Amino acid sequence: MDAKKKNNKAWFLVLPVVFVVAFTAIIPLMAVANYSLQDIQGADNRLFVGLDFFKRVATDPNVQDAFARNVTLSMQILLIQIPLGIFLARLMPKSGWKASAALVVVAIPLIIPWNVVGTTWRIFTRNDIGLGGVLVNKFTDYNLSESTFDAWATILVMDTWHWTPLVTLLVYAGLRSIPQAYYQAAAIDGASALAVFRFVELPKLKRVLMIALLLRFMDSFMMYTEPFVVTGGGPGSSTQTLSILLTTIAIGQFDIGVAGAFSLMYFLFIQIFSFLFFTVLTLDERPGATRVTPKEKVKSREKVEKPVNSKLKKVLK
Amino acid sequence: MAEIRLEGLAHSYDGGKTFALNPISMTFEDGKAYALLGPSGCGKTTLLNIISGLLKPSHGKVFIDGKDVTNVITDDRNIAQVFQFPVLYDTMTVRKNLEFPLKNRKLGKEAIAARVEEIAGLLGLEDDLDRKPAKLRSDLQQIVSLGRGLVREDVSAILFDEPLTVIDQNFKWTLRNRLKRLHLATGVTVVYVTHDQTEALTFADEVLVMNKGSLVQDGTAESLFLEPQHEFVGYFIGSPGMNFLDVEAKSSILTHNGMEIGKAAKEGLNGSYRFGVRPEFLIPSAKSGLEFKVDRIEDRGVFKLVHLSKDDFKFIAKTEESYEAQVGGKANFSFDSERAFVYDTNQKAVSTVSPSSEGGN
Amino acid sequence: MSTLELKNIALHDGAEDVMYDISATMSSGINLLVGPTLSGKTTLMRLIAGLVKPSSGSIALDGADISNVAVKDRSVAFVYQQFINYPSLTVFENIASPLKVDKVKHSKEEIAARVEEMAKLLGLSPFLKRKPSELSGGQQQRVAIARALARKSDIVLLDEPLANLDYKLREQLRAELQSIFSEENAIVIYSTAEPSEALDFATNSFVMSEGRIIQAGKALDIYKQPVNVAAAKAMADPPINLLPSSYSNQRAIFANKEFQLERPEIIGKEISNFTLGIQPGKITLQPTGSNSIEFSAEVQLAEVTGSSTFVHVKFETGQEIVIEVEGTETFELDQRLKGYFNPDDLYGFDVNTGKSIFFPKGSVN
Repeated sequence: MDAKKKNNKAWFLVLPVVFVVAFTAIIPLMAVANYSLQDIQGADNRLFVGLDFFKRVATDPNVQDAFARNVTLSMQILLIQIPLGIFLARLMPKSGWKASAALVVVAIPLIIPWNVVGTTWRIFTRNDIGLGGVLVNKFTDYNLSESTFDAWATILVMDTWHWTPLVTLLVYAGLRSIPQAYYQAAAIDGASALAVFRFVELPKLKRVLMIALLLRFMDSFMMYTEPFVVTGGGPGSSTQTLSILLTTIAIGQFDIGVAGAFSLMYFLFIQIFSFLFFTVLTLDERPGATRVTPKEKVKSREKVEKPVNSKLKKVLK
Repeated sequence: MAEIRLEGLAHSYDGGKTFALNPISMTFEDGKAYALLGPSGCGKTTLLNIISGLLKPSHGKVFIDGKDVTNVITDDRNIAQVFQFPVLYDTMTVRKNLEFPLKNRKLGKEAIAARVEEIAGLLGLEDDLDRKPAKLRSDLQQIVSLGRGLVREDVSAILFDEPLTVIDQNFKWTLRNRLKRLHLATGVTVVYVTHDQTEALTFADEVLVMNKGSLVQDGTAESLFLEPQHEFVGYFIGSPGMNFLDVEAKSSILTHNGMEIGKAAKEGLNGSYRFGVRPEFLIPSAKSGLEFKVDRIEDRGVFKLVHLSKDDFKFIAKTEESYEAQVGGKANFSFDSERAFVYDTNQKAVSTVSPSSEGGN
Repeated sequence: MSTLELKNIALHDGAEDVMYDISATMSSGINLLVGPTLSGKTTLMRLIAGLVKPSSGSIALDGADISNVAVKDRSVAFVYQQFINYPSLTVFENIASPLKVDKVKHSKEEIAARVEEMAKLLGLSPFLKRKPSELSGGQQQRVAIARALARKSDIVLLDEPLANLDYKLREQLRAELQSIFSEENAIVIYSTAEPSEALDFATNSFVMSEGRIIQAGKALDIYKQPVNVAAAKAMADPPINLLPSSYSNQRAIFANKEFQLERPEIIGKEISNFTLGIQPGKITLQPTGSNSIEFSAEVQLAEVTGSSTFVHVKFETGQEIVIEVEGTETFELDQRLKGYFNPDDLYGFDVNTGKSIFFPKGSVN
């Protein structure tokens, strides 16, 4: 039909993007895939090894440890930064010059380059001349190059300082878009502050929080610069993230094949996890879900949804 | 159930430069239904939000049952309010939405269930109780909203802020009817904000007509219709609104461009005035009254609107459906002496007007 | 004089039918789409605008098929229920905006002249330099209408344009719109859910119900001779009273009252029951003639508007009707009252299909 022809034309408009993405993502990715499947000894000497490198990466205890560390770090970051971000956003003034001032102050950490953040914190946490380091040392022994706990905690605090503002800004924007009438209705209904948060704000913030969660997960799971600058992955390998490990393998040991396999697995994990995450959180917003549906349809869909939900949860665990 | 008293109540959003609500003092009697009627921006919603405590007035006081509640928060005023557009808790089912105000007030489980069933029955929501509001049509969503306002039995007053705006015309009649009966049955004080005169007049025992932040006239539907004490009431209530004509008064004889219109009942009127008569009270007469040219006749099924013109002004008359006249021809219309008024330059009614004895009689 | 012809238009959304076999001819001047919410008025307008493609059928403007013409190439303007203007542009720029993107190039002077003309027509001249946010709702909607009219579009679609405005302002704008469009050659399609608005415009109307056009004609003719119950409901405010009735030997039942009903439409036909309809204004509290039928019922509620009173009454059978009486009448609740109706004023509808069987006498022109 004619309508379809017209729709097909629209695809041509996407071509430039496809072209750019091909250069920036697809071709490099193909190159990486290429490396991951063969052992390259020299320019003319290469050996097809199949999935050997993948197996090696998957069974490498270093990689497994780094993976576990990254998962722990990301979960801790999400658990701290999302509630803290919401808390801060709710404290921020709603209008007037104070609102603008608060926005600027909150946004400051976001505009500082990663390595500058790392360097700043590196100095800040030194226990001889760093303001933070000296201060903390007054109360408890603090040495980030010796204590695993200190190093880990420093990374967490630094990332929280750096990235909580992002969550705060997103949530703040979300809160501002809730019509006043909802708060008024809740007041009329005698809802407690907690109930207002639980039944008015949280549902309305759902989309925004989902974006915040996704962004914070992806960023924290790929964290490199800050721990690299502050702790260099140490002491030992206690703060060695997957990214740092990958760099060590690729650049330090120049083990291109393994690094390629590693990169692909890393990339796929983030992709799949983000996709699952998004899918689960938007299950009830699928096309047609908001339309008036006959009761049977609604019921049958609910039946389908529940097992899917629990299955996914199992998968995620 | 409660009496609400306003004392010198006024509100300014900008610290006293302009007033959204001019000083008003009045009492909403216990158990009566009131309507605040006026165009948008007349201050009616401001007044409503002050009564419910969502807005703190910049001037004056609010009393509920004699107790000063000006500084008391909404939750402690025990007032229910329904908003213009559906305001629902998305994550809760319709049933949970209806239960919410009761749960917050720690009612027993059975009492809650019974009350929810009752309200759902009244509003025709029985079949939708276990669905999420987002899956309902927008007018049904508003009905759920309405239900949340009505579900509490112990309220001092229920406030409605244009609750039927998004409801379908035919269903409006049914709903208004049910609300009115509910009011009669429970005897709770009701304040109903609307810009729709039919809604205000049919629902309320007493209507407060507001314009530009001021109360213009309050009274029963009948008195507002029959005896508009302010030009705005004449214009705003009634469809079509009142016919107006600038007149000169000389010893209470009213003339327009030298043509005699009528005589004011009050003695000694001199100067510039406005004459007003509702279309319903312009009465076809064989010979008496003023002679008009018939411009157009609109047949509305159960009545007719006759568009009349004379010299430099136009009137509309609302007649029985049986009225017949030649379009383009002449027709005589007189007016009811109890139902025609003369307004001063402050738009206030000063007297009734009787048709002049001349003019062809 | 131009005409817009819709031929057998249908629209499916997946397996769901949204529009069924719509055929209509609309001509210059105001054409009304009347019907309750979700009856398909907006969807039909979107089809005409080209925002949605019909699954089948065609749309022709002055004989030329425009079914496959893209929205931007159709000469249409659309005004929505919400007041949609460019917030950062002044009123002048808002009205001028469609002229600036028009394929036919307009000189600055031409644009200014057209904007001034539109502003004058809609009473916006004093506000041309203001931003839409500095205007009242009524004025904002006038700007939207002016913008729609600025480019002399062949088709102007107004989707419940006055629904968000004050009651009184609606009255005023309705009168203005009628005089404005009487001077334009455009085909104006105006949708409304309000029967009183349809009767006010007194123009060509199309009654919509559940995705179909069920009746076309002058509003008053539809009011007097609706094809079915849905059309009768769409045109009546206050709503028409409907009572199930049985019929045999020229005797029919009106709630608790049996009476003589002589209608050539049903004589000799095998009809044993139907739905009777009567407009609330046609029931009186005094007998109006020798053939008035008296009935009695219990008062449930009396709503006084000043000019008239709506009395809701209930029969022993549990059925309820509304009576509209002139002036102010007071009633005690649960009081019994005597009402009168004339069998000539009755409508008759098929119980199952809702189709009209007979109309009030004298309604046949």
